[in-house]
Amino acid sequence: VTVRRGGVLVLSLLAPLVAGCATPAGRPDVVADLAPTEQPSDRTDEASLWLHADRLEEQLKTSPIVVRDPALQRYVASVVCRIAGPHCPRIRVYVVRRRGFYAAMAPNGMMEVGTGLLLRTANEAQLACVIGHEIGHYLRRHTMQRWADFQARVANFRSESGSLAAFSRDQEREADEVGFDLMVRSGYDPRQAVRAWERVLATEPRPPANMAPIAALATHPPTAERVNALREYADKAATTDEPRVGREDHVARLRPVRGWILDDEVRGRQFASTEALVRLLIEDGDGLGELHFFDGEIHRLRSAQGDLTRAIEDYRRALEFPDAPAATQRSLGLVALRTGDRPAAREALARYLERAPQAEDRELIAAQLAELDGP
Amino acid sequence: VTRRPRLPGVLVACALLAAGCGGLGLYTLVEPRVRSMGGAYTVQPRLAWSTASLRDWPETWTIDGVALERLRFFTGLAEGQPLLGLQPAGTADPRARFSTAMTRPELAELVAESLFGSRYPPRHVRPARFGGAPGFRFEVSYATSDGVRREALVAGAVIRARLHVIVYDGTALYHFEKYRDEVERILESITLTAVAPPAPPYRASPNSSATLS
Repeated sequence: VTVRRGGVLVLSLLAPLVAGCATPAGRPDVVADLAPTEQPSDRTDEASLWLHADRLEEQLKTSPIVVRDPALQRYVASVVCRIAGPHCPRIRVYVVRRRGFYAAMAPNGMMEVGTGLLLRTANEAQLACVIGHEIGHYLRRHTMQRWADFQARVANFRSESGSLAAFSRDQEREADEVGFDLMVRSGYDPRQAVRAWERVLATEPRPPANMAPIAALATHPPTAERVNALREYADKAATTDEPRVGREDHVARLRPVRGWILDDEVRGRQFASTEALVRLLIEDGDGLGELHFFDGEIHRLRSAQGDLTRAIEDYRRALEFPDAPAATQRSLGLVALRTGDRPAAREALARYLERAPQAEDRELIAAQLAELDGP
Repeated sequence: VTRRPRLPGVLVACALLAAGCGGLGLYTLVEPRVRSMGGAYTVQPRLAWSTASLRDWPETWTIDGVALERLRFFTGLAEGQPLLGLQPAGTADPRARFSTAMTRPELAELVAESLFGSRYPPRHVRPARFGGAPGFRFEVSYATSDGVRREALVAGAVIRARLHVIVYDGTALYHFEKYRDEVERILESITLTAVAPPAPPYRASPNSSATLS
């Protein structure tokens, strides 16, 4: 199972899977691709891995991180099916509420697609590129291969992490290749694979300067390397006359949920990378009122030198568009209050109460307004 | 194949079990009488609670067990401090921090975000006195990672440039309501601690040549 965090893929669920397999019954030296209806034989390592993944899936089904939005679920599942072809019936996809560039695939066909990933992809073809990558892990039985590799290293009393990282990088490259092939064969525009990873490169968080890289996280090829490899694939790829991009559909499906997904990202307080993301989305040009509002929220919450002035500019820009959320007036009022502009604060907070008379914080905002009107 | 006894693990498990039952003295009795909280205010419970005090954790009271219900006191957060003590690894520190420049709605926002994240927005955010200080209150419904529904009630205020927050939470099924009235009484009992008047500023006598060194 792979987990992406900030453009870095991590094998996170592998640890419990490995820990749970007590009685390995031999390992295959060569692992063939998974066939569409194939089930691992009983009493094999692979059956154990699937069983553990089944248990994780049972936990996931009741987890609060699963997004219970039928329309969004149908959309993502439709992209999965288009890419997976004959494997579609065996793959269960869960949209999960997670920040950052995140998707994951378990050996039993359980797939997770994070809301942060949906936000970062500009169109259906880019989403298909990432889903194709995850299906690549599944088809090539990468979890099984890693388990076999783990056993071999234990048998030889080797535990160096370098080989584990290198092996995983090879798998990631392979998954990129398989995913790209699936994407193109499904009729998607191959150039969007390059664009998808360029967007990751533009928005991935940088580790703090005082923090050493964590070896366990270094399991994936650098994003720039992936972009170059995918560009080579795209240049060579034979495509149909009108390859599918699917921008309008993608934007329309995400629009109803984009606000709370953006809020999740902003509240993660990785301000530099979130600011880069919002800038990218502003360049895409959809729903600018909402985007300028969240740009303002980044500056308000960070409150570094000059941020409050920039926040006010962002909120005022947001209010030029009809889709600016009601909370724009609230935030504008609170920042104006902090910068000592009482008339602007009074006006904005009053407008917020007019626009959102049922807001959960209306009583506290009204109290703030009363203090402004008081002596 | 011989099995190596896993003694350290057993000892740790026993220690945790004992700690949970109060056997190691982590929990002490909170008697139903006036109790000072961080020197800033007092509260008066009417029931007997147990309290656990661990370093870097807020003072936590419970009656039936922290997994069922708990009352936490975050006392005296200073400028620039986060509400929760542990920094997540691997990223730039994402914790929101208290600032005395924050407005009251922003303080409520800070507390809600720090404790419950963006997934569980606060309900009925309202002004409320915290002892004599202007404060805020709100409620939150949330779920633990294993899906257990919980309810929370939060009260807070800035007292003498420091943020004080009281959080009561418990399982939505039964336990949150079980002690809610008691918690409401505790919140009503908050009394700010009087501060000794500051010493008069030094003022040199017109006839004195004394200077501060």
